[in-house]
Amino acid sequence: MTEKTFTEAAREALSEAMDADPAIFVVGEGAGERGGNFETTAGLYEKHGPLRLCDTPICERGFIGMCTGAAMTGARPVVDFMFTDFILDGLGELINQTSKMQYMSNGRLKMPMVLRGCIGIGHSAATHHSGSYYPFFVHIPGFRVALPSNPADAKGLLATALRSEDPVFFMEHRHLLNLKGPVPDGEHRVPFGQAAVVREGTDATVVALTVMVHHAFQVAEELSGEGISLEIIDPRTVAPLDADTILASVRKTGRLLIVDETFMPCGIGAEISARVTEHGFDELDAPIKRLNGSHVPTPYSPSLEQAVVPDRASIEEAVRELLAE
Amino acid sequence: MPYEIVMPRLGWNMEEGTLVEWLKQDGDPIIQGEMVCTIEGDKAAADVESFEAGILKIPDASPPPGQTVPVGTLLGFVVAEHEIETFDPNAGRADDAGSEGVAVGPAEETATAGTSFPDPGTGTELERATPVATGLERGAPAISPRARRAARSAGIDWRSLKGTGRSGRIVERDVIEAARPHEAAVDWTDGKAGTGHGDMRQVIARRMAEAHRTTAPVTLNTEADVTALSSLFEDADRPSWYDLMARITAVALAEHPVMNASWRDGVVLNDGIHIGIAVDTSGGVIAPVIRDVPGKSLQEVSAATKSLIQAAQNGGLTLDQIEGGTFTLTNLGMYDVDAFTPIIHYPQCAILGLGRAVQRVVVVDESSGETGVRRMMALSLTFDHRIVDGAPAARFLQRIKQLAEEPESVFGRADGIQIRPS
Repeated sequence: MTEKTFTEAAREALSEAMDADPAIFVVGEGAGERGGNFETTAGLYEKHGPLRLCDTPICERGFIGMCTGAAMTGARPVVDFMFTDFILDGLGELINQTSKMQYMSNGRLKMPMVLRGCIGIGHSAATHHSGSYYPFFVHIPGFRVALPSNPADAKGLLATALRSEDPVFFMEHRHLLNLKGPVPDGEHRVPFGQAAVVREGTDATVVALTVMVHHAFQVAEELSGEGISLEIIDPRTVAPLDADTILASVRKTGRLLIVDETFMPCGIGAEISARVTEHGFDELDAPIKRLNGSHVPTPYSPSLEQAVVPDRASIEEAVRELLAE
Repeated sequence: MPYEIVMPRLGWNMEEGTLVEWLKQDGDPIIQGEMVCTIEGDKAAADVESFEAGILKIPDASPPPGQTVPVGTLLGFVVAEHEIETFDPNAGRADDAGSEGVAVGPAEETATAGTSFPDPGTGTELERATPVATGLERGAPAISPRARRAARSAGIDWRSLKGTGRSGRIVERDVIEAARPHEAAVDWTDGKAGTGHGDMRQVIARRMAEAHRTTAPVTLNTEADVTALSSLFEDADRPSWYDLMARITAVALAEHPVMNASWRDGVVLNDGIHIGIAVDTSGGVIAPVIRDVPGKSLQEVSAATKSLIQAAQNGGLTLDQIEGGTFTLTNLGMYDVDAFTPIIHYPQCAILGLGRAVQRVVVVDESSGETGVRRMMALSLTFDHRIVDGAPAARFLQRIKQLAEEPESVFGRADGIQIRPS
């Protein structure tokens, strides 16, 4: 184990995979000589050169289409979007071509493509640079969506993504990029569809995603002083979603809160809630509760921005509400 | 519009109830959620809550305390302060169509109310709210799915419980509390037993009455020669009759699975063999369950029995220690009782009563008529004739008798006790 930041850990996975597999190449605005806007590729250009660390102009739809073609013909493109918001410019390519190509070719073509970028609200980046949008991709058959919440998972999930035959969205929350934590040295892979029980508890289950895992954990620690015992679950990937671990936890606690920064309607919380109701109705001792970011475009003003995302205070309030049900 | 207090339905089978007493008097101010009167159904007593605030008005036609009336009978009104001037409690009900009122109407009524949703442009908030109030909010309490399952498996009629969840919803902890054995609230001063909802006497009363009402019980009696069984274990650490008979019964149950069944709208065979043992406690009888008896050695059964009896007597049993039994043993032998007629632990199929094991002179050889002194135990098997007929039940009891008389087949010899089950 070595202490590393989230970005360093993810970069280690990318670097190791690029050393091992010459078919991997990275495209993106500033992904080359500059080393990535968020240092995602720092130091790799010197090692692998401009062909494998390929700078692009601002033309998302173009390079998503190009990378889809590259993946079809045997390469492993990594598209670095900086901000997830700009994946949306290539949505037609992604949904109509990238996600369907394996199906359309009866499995003869593979689609080993990694789409990575920052998500999250909280840096006064305003509404075009604060999106998360992962529920869109969960909805589409063929995509995988990884949401690491700590450096070790950043390395492990990206390592798995870089060996996947399917297109994988690898979403990095801006608040987590400089978070430090122990990271396993050498090869480390976290399988998809395997949630982590971050903290065990008996009174209620809190499923939290990305940065919310940390807020929920701190709330759980504080509330333990009052004798309230929360179980915290980090799904780690939402496509595939490890519903079994969540159901097992609800079987124990009877109560469920889902904390997610993205919008509530048709979101991950809605999906988890539906699955738990379908498969664990008799386990529930209270209505399932969701806590999401407000259903509004993200404001620029720091104080307004703060008001639209769940924080420790609102999580604590939601937990108390849930326990009072 | 005044809020009507009517005789609620405490359980699906309750058709009439008795107004025991008013907790508030005519003209008293009522806070929302306050208890206004006590009523008694066929299984339990309950306090009736007002879901509105106002002044209590009791009409002349309201039944006097002690009178039994049909469910839905008007008992009184809670009238908003601004309406009290013009309100006449004897003018009849707002909706005199003879329905059961808003308290605990069955689901159809709610549906009817929904279709007659008034024009939102008319009436006060209260008037508009009243017709669409669901039955769940008034009278029949809401219950979480988890609590409902727990109540079902603990054999508790949840409709008489008081919920501590939001808006009075019954949650799991309420069922656990109701199932927990504790001192019956006996008030010796006026010679009446208490009727608190959670008290154990209430639970026992409900369970026994339910078993008596719903099962078709038949009791078979026989006697087993337990001379060998009682001498099998001479050490100080001798297992109890419950330990020995639980192991023997488990062997017989495995061979007669229908005796291990339950009645849940039909015969349901149970996967495991989990045997309850009736324990006498200061609060009343309770039957904690020895899990998976066939999977336990005699020593493990013995350890489980000891800790369950101790927990029962200390009031420390948890819900999962008292639910999920598939068969029950009860023992009155220590009080010199021979045969008796135990009541089935509903919805189980059967219960086996153990009488005293006493030395008697009996014929030991049918052909010569030779007599001898043997230790005999009376066995009383009550079974639910809906689930199983007399002959198969008798064969099951006969098998228990055989196993008790030839204990080596279950336990091995005394000098080489099989610790693990065969």
